[in-house]
Amino acid sequence: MLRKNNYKAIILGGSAGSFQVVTKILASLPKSFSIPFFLCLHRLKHVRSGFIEALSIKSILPVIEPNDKEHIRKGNIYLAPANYHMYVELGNIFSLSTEKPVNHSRPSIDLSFFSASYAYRDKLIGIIVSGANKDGALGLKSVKDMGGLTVVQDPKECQVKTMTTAAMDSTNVDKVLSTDEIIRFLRRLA
Amino acid sequence: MNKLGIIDYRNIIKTVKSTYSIDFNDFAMTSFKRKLEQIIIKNKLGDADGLVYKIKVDKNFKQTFLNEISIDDTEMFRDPSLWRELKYILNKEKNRQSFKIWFPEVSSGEELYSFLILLKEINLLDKVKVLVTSFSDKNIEFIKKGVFDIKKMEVNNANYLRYSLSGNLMNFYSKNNNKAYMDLSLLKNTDFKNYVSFKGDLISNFHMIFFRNKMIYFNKTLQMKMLRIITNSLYLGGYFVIGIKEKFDNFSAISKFNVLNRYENIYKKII
Repeated sequence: MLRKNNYKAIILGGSAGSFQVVTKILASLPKSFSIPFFLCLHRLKHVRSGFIEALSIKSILPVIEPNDKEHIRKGNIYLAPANYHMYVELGNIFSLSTEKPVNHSRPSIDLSFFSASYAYRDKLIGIIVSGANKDGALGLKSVKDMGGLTVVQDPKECQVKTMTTAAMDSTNVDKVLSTDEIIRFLRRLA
Repeated sequence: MNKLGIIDYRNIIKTVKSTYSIDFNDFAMTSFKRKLEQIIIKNKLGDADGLVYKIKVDKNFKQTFLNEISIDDTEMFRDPSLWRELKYILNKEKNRQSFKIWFPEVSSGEELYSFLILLKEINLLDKVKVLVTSFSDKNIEFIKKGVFDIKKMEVNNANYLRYSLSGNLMNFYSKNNNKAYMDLSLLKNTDFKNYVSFKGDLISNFHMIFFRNKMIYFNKTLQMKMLRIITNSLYLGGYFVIGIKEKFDNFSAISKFNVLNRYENIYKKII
């Protein structure tokens, strides 16, 4: 039985190609949605602006690219900034990092998921949507291993299936859902 | 290897402090823990106890550890628009008799070389004194050699073009055997020193301190301390450059600065 107070954070990973799915999800989250929502999406390293503006147009909740050591607050959507890894530290704050790319990616979904699963353990929901490489698979496994809830977008729905199928191969995921089902699932947490 | 637990993590930091006299206790945990895990794997030390033992008994391991715990700069001319802005600012400082710049905690030198190239382009290379400090001798050796992997130069070249809009980074390096050899005459007014910047002693006074994406590896306590050190090391009117996602608005020391450019995070000391 899903009780909304169980979860302290949600983290979603995908690549730039998942933009439509992500905006659809953000557009459907109600104002009352209070669980911090982290987005780690592969994006062009050298393009600093534009992406967050595009997500903000559709989102009801504020979308923020956090600064280093920014406090995590309820009711915000957080997007990993271009060319930085985004970590969740103990104590509900972000840290950014310029360590080497992982899976050719900075931000790396795996690294964000590792840190969030370490900080939130079984109070975390991890979601992997459409993407073009295997980044995120080990991260989602980490969410599962720490007792969190794992969700993968149904690969049948994805134009590029690499990321979702790799995630499903890495661990026994709890839910495989279509975009609409992901939205219904999240709205129940509001 | 299993992920390091908190107790192991603290124990390693305690051992490093007592053996190497450098206190990493106030480094941001996630990245520092990951670095420690990588060091354990790379040096085949097995686990946290293996690392602690190695630090205690193998005197030669110190330089390896301090080199591998450092986090390299990402790329030359990262955030190209920043470098354009710096060029504009430094052009205004051309008539100064002296201009001293400090690069603390440099690990691989991409930011340093970018800066020196910029200085050369505006004919300031002969007028400035640059001090580069690092807690690792190996880092200093690496930077002095100025040899980079040719694969890394692709992004550096692309960034340079975004910054300069014309021009070619290849004017400042030569290629040989898949390596890029930086023009070492760029270093003619650069001094190097093994030094731990975040301990708290003051090293000198400077007109500019370049410290981008370094304090992201500190926790807030150490960030606050470092900001005080930097503030006290700057002349009045001196510049302080930090990474574009670093923000110290809640720290009292930042009130001594004017924000010259919020987007590029360039500050000027006014009090």
